[in-house]
Amino acid sequence: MLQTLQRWDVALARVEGHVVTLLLLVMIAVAALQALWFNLAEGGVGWAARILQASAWADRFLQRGTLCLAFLGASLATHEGKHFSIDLVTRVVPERVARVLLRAGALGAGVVSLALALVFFEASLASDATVPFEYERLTALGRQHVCDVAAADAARPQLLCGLRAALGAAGVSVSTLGGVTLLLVPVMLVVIGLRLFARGAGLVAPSKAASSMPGAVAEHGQKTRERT
Amino acid sequence: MIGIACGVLIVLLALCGAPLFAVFGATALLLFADLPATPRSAVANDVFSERFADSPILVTIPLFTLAGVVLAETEASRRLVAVSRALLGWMPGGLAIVCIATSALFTTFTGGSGITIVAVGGLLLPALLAEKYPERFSLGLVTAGGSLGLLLPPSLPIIIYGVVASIDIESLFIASFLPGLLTLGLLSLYSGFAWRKSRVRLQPFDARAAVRALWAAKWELLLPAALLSGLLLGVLRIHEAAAFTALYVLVIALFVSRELRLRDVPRVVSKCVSLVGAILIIMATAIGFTSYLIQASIPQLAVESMQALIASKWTFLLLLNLFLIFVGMLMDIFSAIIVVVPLIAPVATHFGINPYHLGAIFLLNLEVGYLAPPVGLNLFLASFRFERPMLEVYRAVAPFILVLLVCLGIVTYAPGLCTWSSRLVLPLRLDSLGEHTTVPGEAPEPGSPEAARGGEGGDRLQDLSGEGETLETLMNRAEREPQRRPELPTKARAR
Repeated sequence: MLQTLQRWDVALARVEGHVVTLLLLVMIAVAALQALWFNLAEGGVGWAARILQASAWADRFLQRGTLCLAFLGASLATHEGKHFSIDLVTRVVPERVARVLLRAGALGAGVVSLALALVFFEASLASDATVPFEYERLTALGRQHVCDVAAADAARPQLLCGLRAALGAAGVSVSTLGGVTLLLVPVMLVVIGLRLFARGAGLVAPSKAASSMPGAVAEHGQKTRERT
Repeated sequence: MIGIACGVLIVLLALCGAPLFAVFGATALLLFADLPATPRSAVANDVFSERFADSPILVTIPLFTLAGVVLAETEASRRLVAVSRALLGWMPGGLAIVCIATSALFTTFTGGSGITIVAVGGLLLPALLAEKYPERFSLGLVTAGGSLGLLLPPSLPIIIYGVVASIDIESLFIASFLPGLLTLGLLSLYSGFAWRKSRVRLQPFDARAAVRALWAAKWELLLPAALLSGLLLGVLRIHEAAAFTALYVLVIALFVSRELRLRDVPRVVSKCVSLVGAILIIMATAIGFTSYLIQASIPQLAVESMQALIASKWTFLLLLNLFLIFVGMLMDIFSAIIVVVPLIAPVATHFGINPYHLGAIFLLNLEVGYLAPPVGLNLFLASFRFERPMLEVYRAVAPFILVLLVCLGIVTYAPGLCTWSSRLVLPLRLDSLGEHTTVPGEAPEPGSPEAARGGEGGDRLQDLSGEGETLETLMNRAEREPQRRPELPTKARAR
């Protein structure tokens, strides 16, 4: 049971690692290309100006990408035991006591994370509640969401409508693709909460030594010691 | 009664070493539960607004962090030490100055996570001891080096400060630049004096070795130059500059120096993103906490009580410094910025302190706080890394703290160091009239690349919401806006 949980935890972290790698590399490419198109357009290159005009989505993508990175990264930090914390007490008490305190802290943090997930879920739905006018169509029935009008509409965004239908079946109502990405926040908070619970209950251990300082420091210390 | 019990539980949670985001989240949930007629989602509403998710600056954080993590993975620190040593090693206190310069450059790109002590300090402490620098001085120097460079662009704490305080990041870069150089200059001067007391022999300058070291580190040395010119010439906006830095560092590490293999990229990115996640989730949850402070008019109450207690701006600055050093001792830099800035910024505005000057003071204080006994983070890192007792580290850093306090005094009481550029004085004047803090530029021609970018004064990330906003949402936002932004005191407006 314990080994299975640990394996699931590691597998999930691996998937998160691949997703964030892909996302961050795409974000770098998008931002770099934006700068390139802009400078070419300013130099009088017509096609670059047209691409620039057509890539107004890029900024929104970068913002939403960062939000996704933040919460996927927070989940990875939970997996690796790399969250920032006040370790004043756990640093000075004997190791056994520190271990008990850390487990109690993880259980408490798990409860808080799940409560936060609920609050963020409500806030994400509220944030996406108003339908932007480009997603609206005026029909005989009044103003309707573009996904709710006839499927033959050429301007119907298929990806959004598919996701909207799937989420609608689960009782979650979204209006935009941005709204769909916002839902990642409560989902990742649930994952973080479950990971913290598992840590507190002693079901899984952090993948690297738990420490209040950024793991990069400890790891780099090891690497430098090996070199010197 | 229940509230007090929950408060005690939250304190216990923090003392048990629970992640800080959970502590802030629990505090926000508890505080908002106490506000009548406020939905519980109010804790998270501002996270999905310009204060966090829609902030144009937030994008730079993972990008600059990736650049820092990649640099730390390669042999960049070794090459930078070699260059500084070849160029400065002949000077009195040369190797000590090498330590200061390299630490500052390294911290600038890697942020204030303490990695400099491990990466650069680990290389330089043996070298300083081998050249017969006093042991206590050397230990103090590498420990102090861990937080140098926080005031130099494009350091991550500057960016986070700008996001939290809602001020222009590029102006903050300019404002904190001279204080950053002053810190390095005074520490170098002190190192020169320390060298005179020791019996360290000077090394002759070797032009050939210097050229060799410069050539070896050419790619790392080109980066700050290219980045700053891109920003200053307007070729790159701040998030594009961040993307350029990340791309540049990745390409150099993968294809030029080949110190990183393609298969290492997911590991390095995961390491970067987990650090970014650990910082940003604190920011996200602390926003709920600061939203409560604003809704409950805590900053206004703080202004009023300060008004009753303190009459002079200079007394306020003195007390602010003491308070911030204390904060720096107890909290890591990112949490300190997120929690304390929303509280002190309105008070500082009331006393007529330029927001960019306040930024420089704030960051320099935290730099000192990192070293302040008994719990400054760098002290623990140095004790852990160099295997020295804490008491020895305390003694070693004491003179460096004194030098940094002198810098702090100068930066605090000579605001001209931060506001020398007219660009930085103007926002305060506008601020005091209750206008935006950024200086608006000329309206761009419709259809021009500038217009697509959102114009000079604004930012495309801010201006184009992508999803498109209905008039209704814009109106709603406009209605909400005055509640979110604390009212400026009448005195500050009149000024």
